[in-house]
Amino acid sequence: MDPQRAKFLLQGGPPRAGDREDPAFVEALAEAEADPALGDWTRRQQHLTDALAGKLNEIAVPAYLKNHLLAGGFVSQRTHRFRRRSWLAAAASLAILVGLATWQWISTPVVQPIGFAALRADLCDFLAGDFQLEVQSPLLERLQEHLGAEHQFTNYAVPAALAGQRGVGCRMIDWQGRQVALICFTSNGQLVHFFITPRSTWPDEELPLAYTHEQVEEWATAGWVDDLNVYLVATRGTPDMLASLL
Amino acid sequence: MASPEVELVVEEHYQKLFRFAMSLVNNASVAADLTQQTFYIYASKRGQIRDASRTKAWLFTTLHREFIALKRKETRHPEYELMLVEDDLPSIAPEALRNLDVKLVLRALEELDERFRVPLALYHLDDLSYREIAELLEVPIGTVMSRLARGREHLFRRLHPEVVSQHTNIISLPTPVAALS
Repeated sequence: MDPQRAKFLLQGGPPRAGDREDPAFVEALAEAEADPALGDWTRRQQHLTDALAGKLNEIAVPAYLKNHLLAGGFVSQRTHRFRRRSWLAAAASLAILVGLATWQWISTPVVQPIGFAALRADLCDFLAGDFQLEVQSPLLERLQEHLGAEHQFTNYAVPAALAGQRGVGCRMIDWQGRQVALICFTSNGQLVHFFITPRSTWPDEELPLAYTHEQVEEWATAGWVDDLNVYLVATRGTPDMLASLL
Repeated sequence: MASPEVELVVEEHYQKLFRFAMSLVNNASVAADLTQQTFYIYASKRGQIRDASRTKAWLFTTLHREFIALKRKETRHPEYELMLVEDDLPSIAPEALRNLDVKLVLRALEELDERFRVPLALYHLDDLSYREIAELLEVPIGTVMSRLARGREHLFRRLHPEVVSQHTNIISLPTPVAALS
């Protein structure tokens, strides 16, 4: 085998154990041993491979993950949501067909929510699924400690009415590339979900102007903004029920 | 609680799977979700894996599929013509690479096209062979070789300025003037 052909075979990185018996690699490695320049090049590739492998194996694994997995926390909300949406998409396609047949009777355009409204709609959709929490604890301090240690999420204010309630758990959610922290509480047997996302990632025009209440299907929600964050509280029930919890 | 069999598999593979997910998405929450989803599927379908030695490859394949599903876009695997990567690659010393912050490496990896990112992560994270990666991605082995070569080329090109900048941050002490005798 000529050196160019050997280099061609080895350019992606040295063959692993499972490839070393492949006759083409055997020949290429023999050529690398016989040709000093190719040998130097191959050794350099090996060193780079080792360095990159070492670097990728430095990726920190969250401390909570193992216990969470061993506790049976396998159900991923995210994927379920997408699967659910694929069913929704199928249902939507059917609805479009029906809609086309009744086109003349339907004149109201469908408006897709954007900005805070989209966040609110998606988070209610999230809550409706079978989501998991990263840690569970009745202590708010423990939950805040987790968000700080695992996600560097520390700069936010918890409403006094919620801070006095019993904690359930917390997790981080990725929403359109933005960090959204979720802390869950129980109050009088009612689950209350408190979301926080940094304001700096939002253009002003997409934020709620003031404290807003909105009923999203079975979810009563309240949203507001301070200098640092955008907040959303949601509970299954009516606006009056939510108001009594806050 | 997970069954003892599932527990063993979690113990053995969760770190590698999480790191693979991180190298794909560079987001700890999403990576944790992908890892959880992979074990969820494993827990419900493990009876389908007849050869236990294939468990690792099965888990990586599943996580990769979930990643594709997550992105909700059609992923095509066009065949790449095998070409020899040019020799004018930026020179990166392995020592310099070892000293880089892992976040910089992840960011550079994130900028790569997914076709290159996935085989690079599989090859470097878990010592998977060309053949195993080819089976996992359902592409010919030559395509894996090509993507790995191109992926390394692109990655090192992206990391080169970081390495240079790291070196320029080192301020050399002035050379002492030799005492005249």
